[in-house]
Amino acid sequence: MLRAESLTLRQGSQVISRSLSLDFARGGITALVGPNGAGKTTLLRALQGGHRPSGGRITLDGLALTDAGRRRWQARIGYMPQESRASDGVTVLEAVLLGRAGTLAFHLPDAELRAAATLLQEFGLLELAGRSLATLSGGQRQLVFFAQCLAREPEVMLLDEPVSALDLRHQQTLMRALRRLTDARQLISVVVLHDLNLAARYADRIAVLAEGRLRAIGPPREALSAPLLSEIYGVTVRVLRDADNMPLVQSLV
Amino acid sequence: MSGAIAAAMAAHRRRERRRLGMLGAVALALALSLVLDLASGPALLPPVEVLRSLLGDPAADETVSIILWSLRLPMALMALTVGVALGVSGATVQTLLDNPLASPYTLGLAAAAGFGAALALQQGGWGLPPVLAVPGAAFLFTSLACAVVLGVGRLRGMAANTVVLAGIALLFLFHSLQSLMQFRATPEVGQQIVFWLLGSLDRATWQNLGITAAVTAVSLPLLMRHCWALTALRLGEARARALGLPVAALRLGAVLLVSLMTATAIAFVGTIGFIGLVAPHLARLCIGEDQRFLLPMSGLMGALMLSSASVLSKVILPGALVPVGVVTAVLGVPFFFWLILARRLPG
Repeated sequence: MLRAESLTLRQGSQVISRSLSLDFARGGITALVGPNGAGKTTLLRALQGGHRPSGGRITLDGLALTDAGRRRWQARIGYMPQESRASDGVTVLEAVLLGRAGTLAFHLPDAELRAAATLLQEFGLLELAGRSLATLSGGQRQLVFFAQCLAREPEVMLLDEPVSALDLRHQQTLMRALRRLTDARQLISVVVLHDLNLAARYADRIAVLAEGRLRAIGPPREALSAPLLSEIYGVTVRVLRDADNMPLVQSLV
Repeated sequence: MSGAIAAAMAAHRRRERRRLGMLGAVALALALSLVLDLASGPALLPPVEVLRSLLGDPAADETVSIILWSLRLPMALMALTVGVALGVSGATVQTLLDNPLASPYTLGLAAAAGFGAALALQQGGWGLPPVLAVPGAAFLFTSLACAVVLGVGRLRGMAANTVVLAGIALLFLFHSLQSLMQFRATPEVGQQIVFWLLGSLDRATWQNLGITAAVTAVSLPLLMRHCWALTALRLGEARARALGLPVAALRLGAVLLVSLMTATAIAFVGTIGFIGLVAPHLARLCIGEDQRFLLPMSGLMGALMLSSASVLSKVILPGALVPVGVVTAVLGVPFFFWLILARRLPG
């Protein structure tokens, strides 16, 4: 169980979140949704150990995140930030290998190479293995970075807008893979999404954040309510039901 | 295991072998350049005699052996050592500061060394022999610059921009102070300062070569320990942090090692420009960003550039020795333009 208790998060002197409490269970996907500036990325960075909260605490299976234990904490986490910069001289296979940069020895054993290549195959990217990362499309690069996260064999997956540059098919590929791995490996998965329908389809729970406050949390059917979404996004929102009785969010301009 | 996975793995191994092959080819070119460097000079020595003397052949010409062992070998080996130090330092600094235009000199180290040397020359070495006072003061002020850059950087979590800005501020400060020293110096001392600033391998001795080689030999493996983390930094600081890499600690430790290598090298040979800037780019063209290969290749490229410049400095004007720092700059600038225009520099 990953737990945030009474977190206060600041950026400089600005308070992003105050007294934020949330927990994330193993084998579950939680989608963080909310308007821009709601504090989703800062929360994710705090959970990863890259942003020090100014109040409250974060625990994983009862063990608190501390300065001294930060490296060990981060070794258990696969974090995919929004930034997806490419470098000319790094190949796709090397980019996936770099997921384990903290533990790789000078000589690269076959097992490491095989694991990285297998991940690429899983996402249909194996034929690009020797290509420079810079020659890939934004969407392909995002999939490579997702594979890089998985190469870390994490217990917790923290993904910040992982499908923002992906076409519809690749969005489904990535989210299905996340669902499958979360179930199979009992991962704790937290994913920031702007596509509320994608969140409703793949997440077990949705946490709605606005102005640093948790406005709703629960199964998609409960968390995605039209009045709340209309209020926080500032547009008129209608929530319909699809054939599986899942919420289908439409904004009415 | 599927055939496609085996093929991808085999292709990666081939890439690694090709990179090793390129390292070998540059090492070979370097060996050739070393022999030419030893053979060239006011007295042109036959390369075969040079090789015989190097290999300890008892039948080797005695005059050749004396010129070689007491004069040319320390200079030629100093060119290799300083080239390695500047090449590796340049590659590391470009990665750490995420800046293709960075070099060890961006940290203000060369300017600090220049001021230290100028001060020692202007003050007459404070009673010490110039051979000790000048490199000593250059090293001292380079270390001071390094301490200030690291101190200011640490206040801001070793952010790349802070380190660059601190380095540039020091560069301007020490340049101004150095100009003041030149302004106040007598014409003779002013000339000595200019000569030091141009950079020259003439000052190489077995002792200072030993010190430079030892510092480089210790620093290089320490940097190589972080080769994967440095490669990850090429994907941006945010991603390196996302991978749980201790970026600030890495930057602190690596800048310290780079400063130590650069300070030692320039204390003995003066400020030799462009090696630390251009050699890493050349290496990157051949090898890519995998720092397991890039760091050694940058070192070899730096050594090859400085060794070749040393040869050229002796043959470019018959009967005259052009300071090697001038040769590296004159050759480095058009070469750098080519790199820029060929759009090979990472943005």
